[in-house]
Amino acid sequence: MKIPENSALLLVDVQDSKVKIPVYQSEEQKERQNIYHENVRKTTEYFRSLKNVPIIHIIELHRDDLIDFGRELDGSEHVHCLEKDSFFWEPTAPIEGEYTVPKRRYSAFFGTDLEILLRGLGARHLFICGAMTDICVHFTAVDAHQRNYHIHVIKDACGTHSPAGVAKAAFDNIEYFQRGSVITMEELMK
Amino acid sequence: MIIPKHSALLVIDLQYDDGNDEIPIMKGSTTYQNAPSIIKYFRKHKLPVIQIKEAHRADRCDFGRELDGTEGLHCLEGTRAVEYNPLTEPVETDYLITKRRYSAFLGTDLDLLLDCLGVKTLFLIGGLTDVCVHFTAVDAHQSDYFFYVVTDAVTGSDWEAHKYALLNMKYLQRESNITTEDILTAEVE
Repeated sequence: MKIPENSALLLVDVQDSKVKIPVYQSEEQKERQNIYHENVRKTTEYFRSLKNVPIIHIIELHRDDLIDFGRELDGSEHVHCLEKDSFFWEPTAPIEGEYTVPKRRYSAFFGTDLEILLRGLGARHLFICGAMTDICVHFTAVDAHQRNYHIHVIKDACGTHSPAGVAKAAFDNIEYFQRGSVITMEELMK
Repeated sequence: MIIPKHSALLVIDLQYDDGNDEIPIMKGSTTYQNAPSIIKYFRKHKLPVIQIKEAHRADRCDFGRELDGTEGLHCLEGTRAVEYNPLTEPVETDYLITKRRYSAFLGTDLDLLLDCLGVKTLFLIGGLTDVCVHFTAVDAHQSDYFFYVVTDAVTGSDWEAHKYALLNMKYLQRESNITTEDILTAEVE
């Protein structure tokens, strides 16, 4: 597809930790994680090769004394993304000229300077990939949509350990908001 | 269940259906059977009832990207679609908030109102489960509120989307899915 002039790439929580939380447990989940990793790496390389699309790396970080978790530990998630343990996943880690935005919540718009950055860049179209599909990617995409951005979610470069139906429901919901917003890598690179 | 003392009820987008809004609605929802008794319960216990409605300016300038997907024109000012539904109509003691987006927190004074009221726990009813209810719940959760969604008093765009939105809310807060009966048999702290 033709990438609109005023676009940016958001890599959501493509990150790693010194402390491995085994959320991708079954063989099927591990395989899914491998495919996701391979695809998010290829997608990042593709955007880097275009040279004119700003790349923004979002990373979730929580203070080591757990003070900023809010209600995040009342559901399925355990303590995660502590500042002392977390870093960008090495194969796509930011290089010179790319931007980073740390966040404390699921949505990359919540309590961050992402909008200030996007306005500075003049971005109106956001290409979004990363993890988890049904949480941080989903909520970031919906917040972008509610803030008048056009969204393009690269389906096969998104990852989650949730059951397959859950990821599909998230993509269906994003499509509910903007028809044609969920795309594949093949469509992206064609 | 016990309803914590710093609780409020959010009634989301229960508006007059003038038959013109182009929004899909699942069939067989029990929202309008259950919502009136839930609202009555909160009023009886002197817990705040906050009625949210969606409205868009008649010249359509504030729709943003809302017409790029499944939804067509909806909630236009100057039409009956921006009136509250008579079945769940606000009374004088209810608080009213008008919004332009799905989340009741975006571009509104809801957070300010909740802070002034000292509210820490939100109970959600209304529609749509997978749109305004879901993203109001997500924003409430991200803003550190405890939330409960009353599963038989919310209506989705279709049953499948309704089910997955409720599941997602459970992911965020384990005990967040409750029923009308839970409320009507609850004690207030």
